[in-house]
Amino acid sequence: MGKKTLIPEEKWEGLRHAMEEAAGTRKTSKTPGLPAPAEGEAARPERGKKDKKKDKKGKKKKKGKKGKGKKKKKGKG
Amino acid sequence: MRKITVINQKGGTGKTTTAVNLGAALSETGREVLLVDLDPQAGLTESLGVETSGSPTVAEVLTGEAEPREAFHALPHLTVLPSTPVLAETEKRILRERPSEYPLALKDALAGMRGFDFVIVDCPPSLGALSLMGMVYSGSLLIPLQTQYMALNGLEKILGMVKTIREAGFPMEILGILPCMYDVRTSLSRQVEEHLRETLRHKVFRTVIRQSISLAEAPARSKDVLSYQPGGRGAEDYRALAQEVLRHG
Repeated sequence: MGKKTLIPEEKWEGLRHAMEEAAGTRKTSKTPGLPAPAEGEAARPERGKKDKKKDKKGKKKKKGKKGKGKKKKKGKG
Repeated sequence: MRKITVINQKGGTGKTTTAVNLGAALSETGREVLLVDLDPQAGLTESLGVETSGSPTVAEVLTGEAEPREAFHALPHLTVLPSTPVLAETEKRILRERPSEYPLALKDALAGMRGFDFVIVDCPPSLGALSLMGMVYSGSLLIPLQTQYMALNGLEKILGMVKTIREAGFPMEILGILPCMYDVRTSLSRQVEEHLRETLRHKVFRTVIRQSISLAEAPARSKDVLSYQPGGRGAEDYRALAQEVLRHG
């Protein structure tokens, strides 16, 4: 019980985390050796690929129906 | 040539003591050792009794006004590249003149240097430009750490800086964390050491530098602890550290 009373456990957890990041053994979202902007750039293509596929499928149906419908309504109204 | 930078932004953690005495212990094993004083307070220079008046120092080497060999002071068993308070002005000048390249200043200044098995750099107690130059030069850090609570906060900051430097593309390894000023009588010292090993495992040196009056007295005699009290506790601890460093390769 006396062991961990002087220094809180969170302090050690923070140090462990900091050491893993400093040593490069912890997997972070950042690419080692590159500045922060790489994080955003690396994440975008994955999202973009998935979205594009969904969009392509969705666009055919959605665009056709919604586009025509809206124009007719606007034109008539 | 193995390069080691001794760093901790907190003052009084045992940086200079470690640089001097690790250097002396490595020298005792027959290695050629260069000590670089990168601290404008010039603690390492003074603790070994190096006189710098009129001769070039690390400041002139950093600006290219002197060749490293011109600034070296050869002691019986060590070579010292000394510092003076002028280095504080030199730091500002380098930042002004090489704003984007200043971290490479020491690396560039000592490029091509031969003849040493070990180069040990003693950094100032800050994480400023000079410390960054020291870190980038060696890419290998030895962090002396007092076995106290406040020292742990400082350690987190250093580790954060190491991560930033690595992400900027500079190779950087933590050679080890060295528990210093260890007082066997206090439960805090024991707890900090125990938890450090549990948490950071192989990144903590097996050697612990125990509190020893000989470590404090040696600089007053312009000596390293191995010359001052060869059979003492301080000398014994630094010899053990040197063996660990040699095993590390």
